Amino acid sequence: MRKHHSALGGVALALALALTGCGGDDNEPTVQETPSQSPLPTTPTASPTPKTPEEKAAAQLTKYLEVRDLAQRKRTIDFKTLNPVATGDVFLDLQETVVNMKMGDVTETGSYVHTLGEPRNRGNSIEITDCEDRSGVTVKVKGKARVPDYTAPDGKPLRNPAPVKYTLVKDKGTWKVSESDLLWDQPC
Amino acid sequence: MLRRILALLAMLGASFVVVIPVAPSASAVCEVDKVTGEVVCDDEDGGGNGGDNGSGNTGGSSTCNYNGREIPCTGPGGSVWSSLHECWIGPSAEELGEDLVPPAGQTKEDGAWHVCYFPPPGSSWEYTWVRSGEVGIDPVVLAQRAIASMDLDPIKIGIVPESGPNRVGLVGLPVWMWVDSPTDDTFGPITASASEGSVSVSATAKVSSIVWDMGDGTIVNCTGKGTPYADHYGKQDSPTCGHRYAKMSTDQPDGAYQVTATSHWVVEWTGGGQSGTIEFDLTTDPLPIRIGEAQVLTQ
Repeated sequence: MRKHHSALGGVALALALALTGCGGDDNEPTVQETPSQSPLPTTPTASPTPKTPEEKAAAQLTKYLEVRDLAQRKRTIDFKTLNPVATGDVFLDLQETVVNMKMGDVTETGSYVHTLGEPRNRGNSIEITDCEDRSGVTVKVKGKARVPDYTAPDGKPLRNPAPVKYTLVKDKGTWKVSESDLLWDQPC
Repeated sequence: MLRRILALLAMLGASFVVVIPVAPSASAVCEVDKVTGEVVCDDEDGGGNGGDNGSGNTGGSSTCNYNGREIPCTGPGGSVWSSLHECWIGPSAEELGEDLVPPAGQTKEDGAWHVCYFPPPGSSWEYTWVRSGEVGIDPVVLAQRAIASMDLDPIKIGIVPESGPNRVGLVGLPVWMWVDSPTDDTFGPITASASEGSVSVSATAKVSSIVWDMGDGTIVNCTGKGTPYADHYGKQDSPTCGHRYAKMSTDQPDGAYQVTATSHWVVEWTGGGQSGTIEFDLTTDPLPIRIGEAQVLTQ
């Protein structure tokens, strides 16, 4: 498992990022290994550059989550960072989400914590489930915090953390996040 | 996004059942709605069931071109593709609570700043100035209006043995099915057009096949109108569309097989610089057909 803080995470995170070699080339250090959890199919001392398709996909998902979380906080999209990591529904959905947040005067502050599960290679696609912890995120509508922040289809507050299954596909030789599915009725 | 497009199309409100080719799936994809705070799940099977008496969902599809590949003409949130801007034109800046100054030489009467939704890859998350009337109605909507104006109906069933209290067919003997008195609005082809502003769409509809549900678990797919039965055919099989019942209908509700005919309409439309196909089904009311056995009938 791989834990990922998507917002400014401090020196410890930056150090962890440097050690793992993940997190892309932007200015937000974001990736942290959690030794207590089961690792991806590489040894902890493996090269920081992802080698297997599963590792590459996981690294791309990590970058995507950074871009997504930043876009939602800033309510704008930096296509320079989104284009290399997203395609398909996810690419369009994020644009729509940002627009809807502006239209509905919805803001998000704070940081998600992402913990990626083992990638499952489906051949043409790779699925990775992210255990998304939003304890550090505050959602406000018209300046007022929304409690609960999200409501599940059964009418109860959405569990936290909640698993989100991501599907990545190859796009011109690069794994990109294409679909997401909130598994609201399943525990992490 | 497809599911969103389908949802949008389903809201457009014409009066046909539309069969849209979506991969069957019992799963639902869920995501949070950031505005309402609710988890929204979309059924991925698209709901294209077809097969009622002309009421139900509507839909259709159109494709636009972008960099040599086909993309849906309708984008996120019902936005409309603009070949000029190479993006789907979304809500205006005003709708997003921003009051922006028009570009030099333009006034707010001349147009508005709009969000551009980009197919991947995107270029710039900045508002685009869209002149008034530059992005009009989705041609799919006009195509659906044209179809609605056709006032299409299910076919009139022609069948032997006939339906009626004193009519009984025999097990093992040929059943003939056909379209009785086909008209433009029950079998096509029929053409209609619709327009709004400078956009005009022409649509031609025709039945491509008829699926006969014989009520005994048998489905017979016929591509043409079928052949009307005449006495001189005797006990021949229908050359185009027929069936034989293997059992009596006495154990069926009301002692009869309930026969329906579902006509599958295919509408080709063109206009507004686009073209597309809309497909839907129209199904008749059930027609009771009684089937017995010769020795039973002669007792």
